[in-house]
Amino acid sequence: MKKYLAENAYNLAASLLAVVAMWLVWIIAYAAVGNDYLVPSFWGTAEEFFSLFAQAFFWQAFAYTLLRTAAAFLISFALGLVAAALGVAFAPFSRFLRPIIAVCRTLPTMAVLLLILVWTSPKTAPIVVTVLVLFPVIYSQLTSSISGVGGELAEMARAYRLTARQKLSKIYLPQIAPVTVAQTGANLSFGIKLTISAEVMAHTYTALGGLMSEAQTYYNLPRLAALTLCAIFAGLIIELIFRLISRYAFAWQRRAEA
Amino acid sequence: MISIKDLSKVYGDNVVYSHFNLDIEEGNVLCILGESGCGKSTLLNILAGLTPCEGDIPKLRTAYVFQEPRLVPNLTVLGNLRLIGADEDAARQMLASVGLDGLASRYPRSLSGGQAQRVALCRAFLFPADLMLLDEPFSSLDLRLKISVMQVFKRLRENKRITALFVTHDVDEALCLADRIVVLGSGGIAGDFSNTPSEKYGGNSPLRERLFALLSGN
Repeated sequence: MKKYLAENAYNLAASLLAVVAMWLVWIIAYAAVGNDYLVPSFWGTAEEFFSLFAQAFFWQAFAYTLLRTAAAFLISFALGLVAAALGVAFAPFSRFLRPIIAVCRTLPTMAVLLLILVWTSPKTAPIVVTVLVLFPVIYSQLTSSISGVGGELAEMARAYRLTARQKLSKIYLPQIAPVTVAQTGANLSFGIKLTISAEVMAHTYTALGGLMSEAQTYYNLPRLAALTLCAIFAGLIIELIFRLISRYAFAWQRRAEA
Repeated sequence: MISIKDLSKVYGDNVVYSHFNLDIEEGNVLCILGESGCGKSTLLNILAGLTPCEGDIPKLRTAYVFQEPRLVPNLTVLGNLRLIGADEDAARQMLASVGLDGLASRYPRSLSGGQAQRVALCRAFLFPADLMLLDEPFSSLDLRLKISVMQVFKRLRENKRITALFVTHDVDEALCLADRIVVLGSGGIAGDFSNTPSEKYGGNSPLRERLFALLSGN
């Protein structure tokens, strides 16, 4: 820990400075506007933030939002992995997928949500919307990762007659694992934002987005800001966890041996 | 005897091989010497089944040593040897024979170039192959390391009888390791020489001068 702090002192100081700057902007904005219905006070938001933790309904809503995000991510990842593997192995499949991916990428998601609400329910619609956005992102990332596994290793595998199972389990999957794990954090964080946005629009009950929608309806800006902070912290913590896993779980990436 | 008959290979307008024939005696190391672009690596890739061609090419189980070690980075040294089917004891003995027994649990990224290429050689010697193919395996090493790794190859060869086809543009490598040297030119085989592998890298000999003359087009 000490070694990490010493090596990254400059970066940590810069990050801390950025956080202080954002806090100062908030304080100044509140002082300048002077209207709680437009810009909530930092201290009011902080009080609301900590009071949420004592509320069972908050934890329930938070848990359901995370579960929806996780479900959407897992579906997107499973589809993305199969599509990417097939696309890299069979060029015609990749060409077949191209327009589908393009459509998914350019869909006006929140507008599509309204359609999806007709076909599903406020509980399910956020999952579907998040999948529609995450799937093309994850597909592109995995395609890039799989294609990036050195052609030289592939040639060595062919020369030594490794089986498809050996190539997949010993070469391809381990090679794409570190960057995929790091991207998972970012994708989950992005997924949380998407899920919450969809929950707000769908008025999903027992959801962070639903609580935000309710807070906005009653002009409870400190609560709305506090819930937003919860979402931000959740995303940051998830990204940090996966970044640490990516850095420390793959010993083969590190040059110096202990 | 491993026989290549009537091999033809064309890349676009470039005729690499046209009705090429070559016999490789079992138990011998045959070196193909030639300048860059004459088709040496193509021949190895054809024999390894990596490149299609026309002709009567035997279907062989080949072990391949590339210019770069091409070790799987996420597997330890021992894991890389076990990947090609070697059992753990045999792999550890092989590493010990080349002075790498302390590195079995290390990952390739922590190895030096010479160590990694020695592991690649161990992998090739452990693989039950009809023919070992070596594509300029020492070219990426500096002189000191090259001589050291070549000694490793000679030592491994003393323990296991192999048939090998190795390509290089370095005359002294050929003279050090090969039982037979074939010089490839633009029209096919420009020279075919018997050789007794020399103990020393470098040094003058009539065959050395003849090979340099052939390679320079004289």
